[in-house]
Amino acid sequence: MSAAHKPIYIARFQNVGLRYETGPEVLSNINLHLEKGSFHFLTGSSGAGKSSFLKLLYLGLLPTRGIVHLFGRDPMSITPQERPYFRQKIGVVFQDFNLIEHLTALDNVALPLKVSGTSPIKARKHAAEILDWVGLAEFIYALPATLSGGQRQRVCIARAVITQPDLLLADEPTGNVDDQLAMKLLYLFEELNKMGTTVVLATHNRYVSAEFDHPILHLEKGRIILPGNEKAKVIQNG
Amino acid sequence: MVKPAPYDLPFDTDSSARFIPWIIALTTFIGSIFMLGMLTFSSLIGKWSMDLTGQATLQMHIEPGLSPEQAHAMKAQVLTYLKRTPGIKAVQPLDTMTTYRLLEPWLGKNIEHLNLPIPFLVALTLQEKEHFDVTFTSNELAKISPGIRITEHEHINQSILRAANGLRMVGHFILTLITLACIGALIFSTYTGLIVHHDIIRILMLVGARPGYVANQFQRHTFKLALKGTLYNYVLLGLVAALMFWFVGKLEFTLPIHDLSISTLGLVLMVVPLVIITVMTITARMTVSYVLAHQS
Ligand SMILES: Nc1ncnc2c1ncn2[C@@H]1O[C@H](COP(=O)(O)OP(=O)(O)OP(=O)(O)O)[C@@H](O)[C@H]1O
Ligand SMILES: [Mg+2]
Repeated sequence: MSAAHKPIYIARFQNVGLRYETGPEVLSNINLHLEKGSFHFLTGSSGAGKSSFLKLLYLGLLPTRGIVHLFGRDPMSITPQERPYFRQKIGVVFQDFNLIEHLTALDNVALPLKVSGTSPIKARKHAAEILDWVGLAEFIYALPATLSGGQRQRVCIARAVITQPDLLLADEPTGNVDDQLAMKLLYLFEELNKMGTTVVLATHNRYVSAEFDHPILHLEKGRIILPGNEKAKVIQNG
Repeated sequence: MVKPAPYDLPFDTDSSARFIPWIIALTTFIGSIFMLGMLTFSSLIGKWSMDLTGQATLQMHIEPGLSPEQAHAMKAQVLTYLKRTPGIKAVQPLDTMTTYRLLEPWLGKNIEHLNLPIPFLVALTLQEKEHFDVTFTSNELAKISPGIRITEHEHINQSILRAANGLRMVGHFILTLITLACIGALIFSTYTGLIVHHDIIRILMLVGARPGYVANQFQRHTFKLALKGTLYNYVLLGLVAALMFWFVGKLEFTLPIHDLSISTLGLVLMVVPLVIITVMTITARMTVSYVLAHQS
């Protein structure tokens, strides 16, 4: 076997626990490896810890217990100066969108390219294409406040994918759109995954996770419950 | 395409920076006036100093009881002695009219009618190389007339220079304080801006913005504010100049500022705002970089 078959891990969790302030642990004993190029669904009921889990993956939070490795590095050791370069490799569809209200849809989507040094003109041109693809061609100059929930969500998706990130984290990315559009967006993620992006998609829509043949990470009371799927690459010993 | 927003941060909405252009305008204005004042002052001092170097004055009190002949003989004796003294290049007795003119600023135009004992004044030009012994000469001359005093202008020169340096230091100190206050105000307003725009900055960082990217936005915004301040400063300077010329026209005296060349004047009016703009933009940038680097 050549070295090419040795899996490369985007993220590794060892006995990871997370608590907010002095509250109870919302994530406990998480042990898993996310292989480069994999696609995982993250399921679990409301409050199970899906968003919290994703925060650990985009350096939104540091674990309060255990060790996380992200792109081979312990986030604890990533300096504030290095953090932007890690984040530039990660695209996030936030559950609450996190759009900048005074910027148009176009400028919101262009941001990740702009902050990583692409010229504003190029960034906006590319942003317009992606917005067109997610069906918002007419709304590129609209402010987020004037858009519907589903439209805002699509702006957020466009912003997350514009850089073709190494890791795409999507938190309920289809929660506000009809089934047809949901399918279209899921195929966008599928497409990106085929081009090499590692995807973690949080959803409590069983229909969504059932449609694709991808391993499921199921969270229950802060623990990953047996994935029941060989491809999951989940080491379960909690 | 519709033009993009100039900044990712909505600076227009934040009122903490509203006074910054005025603070910068005042600092620039005071700085410019101060520099012009200093340069004028220095050139004046330099001129006086040049006029005074190598000069001395002899003052001889004429006893009222002396007859004109006696007084004349005494003056001649003094002049002869002076001409023979080593270290003196030229001896120039001042006639009564010249003396009156010199005293006019203190005693007024009608000195002749005041019946005051007017001293006999002699202007001495000293030699550069040879030493002139003031004490010895004064003592020798006192034998002719006891009330004789020689003042070397070098002494006046020294005290003027000392006073000038003192003034200059006080000026620099005040200017430094004003600049520091301006920097302080800017740090405060930048810091407030970071708090006001915290949510947007958080999103920018989440999509991969470096602290430098955010700092850049603040820097550009501050540059714009400083530019505005510079314009206000020129308006203020224009008003003051107009007022001054109006006053000068009324009072019929010349401003010492005429001693400065147009190019010096232009240079000062350009350089001071440039320095302030640079200091302000750097301050904004450093404040943002520091705060963002020190928050987790
Ligand atoms: N900022 C916070 N401070 C304190 N507790 C928090 C915070 N964010 C989340 N929690 C708690 O952590 C737990 C997990 O929340 P999380 O948002 O990760 O759930 P979720 O699975 O994403 O839920 P949903 O499907 O509703 O989005 C919840 O009990 C929640 O109360
Ligand atoms: Mg959630």
